[in-house]
Amino acid sequence: MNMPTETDNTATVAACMPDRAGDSPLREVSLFLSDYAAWLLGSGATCIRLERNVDRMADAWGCKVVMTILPRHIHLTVSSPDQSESYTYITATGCYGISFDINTGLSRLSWEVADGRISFNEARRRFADITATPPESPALVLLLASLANASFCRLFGGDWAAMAVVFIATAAGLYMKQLMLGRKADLRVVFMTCAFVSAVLGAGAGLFGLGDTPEIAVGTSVLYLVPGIPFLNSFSDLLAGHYICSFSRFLHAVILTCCLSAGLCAGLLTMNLGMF
Amino acid sequence: MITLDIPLMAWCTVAVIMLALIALRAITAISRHRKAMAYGKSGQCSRICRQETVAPKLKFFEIGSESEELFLPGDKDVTKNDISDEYAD
Repeated sequence: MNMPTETDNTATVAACMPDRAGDSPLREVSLFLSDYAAWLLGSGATCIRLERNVDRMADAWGCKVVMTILPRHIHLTVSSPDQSESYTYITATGCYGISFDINTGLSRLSWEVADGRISFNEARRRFADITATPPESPALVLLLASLANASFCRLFGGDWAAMAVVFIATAAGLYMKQLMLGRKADLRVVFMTCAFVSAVLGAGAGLFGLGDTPEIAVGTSVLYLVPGIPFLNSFSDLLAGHYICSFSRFLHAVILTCCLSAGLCAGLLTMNLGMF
Repeated sequence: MITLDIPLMAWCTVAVIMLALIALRAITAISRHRKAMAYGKSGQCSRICRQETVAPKLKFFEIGSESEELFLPGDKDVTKNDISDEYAD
């Protein structure tokens, strides 16, 4: 069993504890794994990935882990192989937002631990580095998402004028989304507002007679708001048997889709466009 | 008789608001950049501009106090709603 010793307690998790002289290695592992699991779940990972990654690291450190994964909390118990010592932590996942960089980094970290390439102390340092990963540049995201949505318009049969209108409508809506999220606005209000802005601007193709496919421009101008990752994660959790998380994620995605639809309908009604 | 073209008005209103927001943001960024340069901190200009952009969080639209898609690295405020032992009986 190669659990960490008491002398290598230097990094993030237990740094705020006033007296760490009595901390056992198993307790350090428990704290690390609960923090790791909370970050992974909060960054948009599926439950099956979470279980595999945590089990992989626990096996490498020679301990047993039992987890209960809830939509916003993780209940984690780590015990020694002979069950003589165990620690249980309940950690809130927080609101980190979906980040593929963090997901990938944390998964890679679990494999490095499992392969024995890094020590526990090094793993904690790497974990702190990964969780401090900065988000992608908002300007770059704005540009790429607008180009992607314009490409969607093309895939659905839109002409070049419709693509240009969709590009502008997406850029405006996504810019509004970034502004409002930066002000910590409610996500549902953000979705309704951005869908309305994009729908109204997307209807400009029909309003000014630009191109031959104005209806495709309106329809595809709000596609960037569709919550694809929560839907995919909910089905993944459903297949893995994590019904509570699956239902929670599905409901969250449905609520966002309803908000998106409400904003789109408001935009269409404002622009005197028929919905069906 | 003048008829009111609501779609055109709505489109123009949204377009003008978005342009105004973008212009306001650009002007603010440029003025902060100039201010940072004027104080002779050209080496730290990008950091100062970034800090000043992030720091003043006006509480507009605060129907809910959190947004789930905003990722702020290191912003793990677990102590905010924590009831610590000092409040226990």
